[in-house]
Amino acid sequence: MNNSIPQEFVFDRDLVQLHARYESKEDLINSLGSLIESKQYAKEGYRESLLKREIEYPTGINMGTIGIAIPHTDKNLVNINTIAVAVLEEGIAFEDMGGSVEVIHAEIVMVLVMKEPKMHNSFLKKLIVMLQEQEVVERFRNATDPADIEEMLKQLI
Amino acid sequence: MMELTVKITNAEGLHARPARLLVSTANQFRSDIFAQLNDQKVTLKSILGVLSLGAEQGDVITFIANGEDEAQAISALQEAIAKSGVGVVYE
Repeated sequence: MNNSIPQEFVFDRDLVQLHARYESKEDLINSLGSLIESKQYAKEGYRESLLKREIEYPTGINMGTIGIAIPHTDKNLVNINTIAVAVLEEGIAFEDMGGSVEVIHAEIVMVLVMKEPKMHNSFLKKLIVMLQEQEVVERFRNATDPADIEEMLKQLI
Repeated sequence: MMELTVKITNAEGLHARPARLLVSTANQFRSDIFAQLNDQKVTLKSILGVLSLGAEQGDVITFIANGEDEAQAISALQEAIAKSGVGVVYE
């Protein structure tokens, strides 16, 4: 395998939910996980694995101006690199990825469906930098069209 | 000041699980604790800092502790790195 070949990434606007409402993180993960599975971006069992992993190793991050969460799980379950995004009307509680007792009220949840660790780590690094800009956070909050989200996230791949 | 140099050997790099372990270990100490990769130096007490390093397999990270309990901190980090299997410590 030649590692210099760019890794395929598909942005699917059907995996973007704006002004979404969920009761809990379990609800949200079940919904996005099922969608990812049904569109065959990941193998059967992905949703369940995602849920289990979030409980074992939580992914809530306090960005200062906004709470986010980045659920992800076993890369071997991924078929095609993609990302599912929910921008929530009201934040839902996630546990802190850093291991503190702080409850993170995540308003943006991104499920990172990536089979290459290099893509995953580099995307996450750039996402963290990008979301430190208040202007970007507001663009997420106010987005009305999945294309707005696509435009911002595609730069990070 | 004490340092610990670690080569990331895990195929997934410094991902969620070891990152959480390192951050929570660092937060048990009073010393200032940093992680440095190339010319980027971040606090190890925040998950944000660690994720913004984006450390991958093969990267060499230096952990730096500075303060009254720096020796204990470095020793705890060394233990956490061994336990998580994320990398190997350079002697």
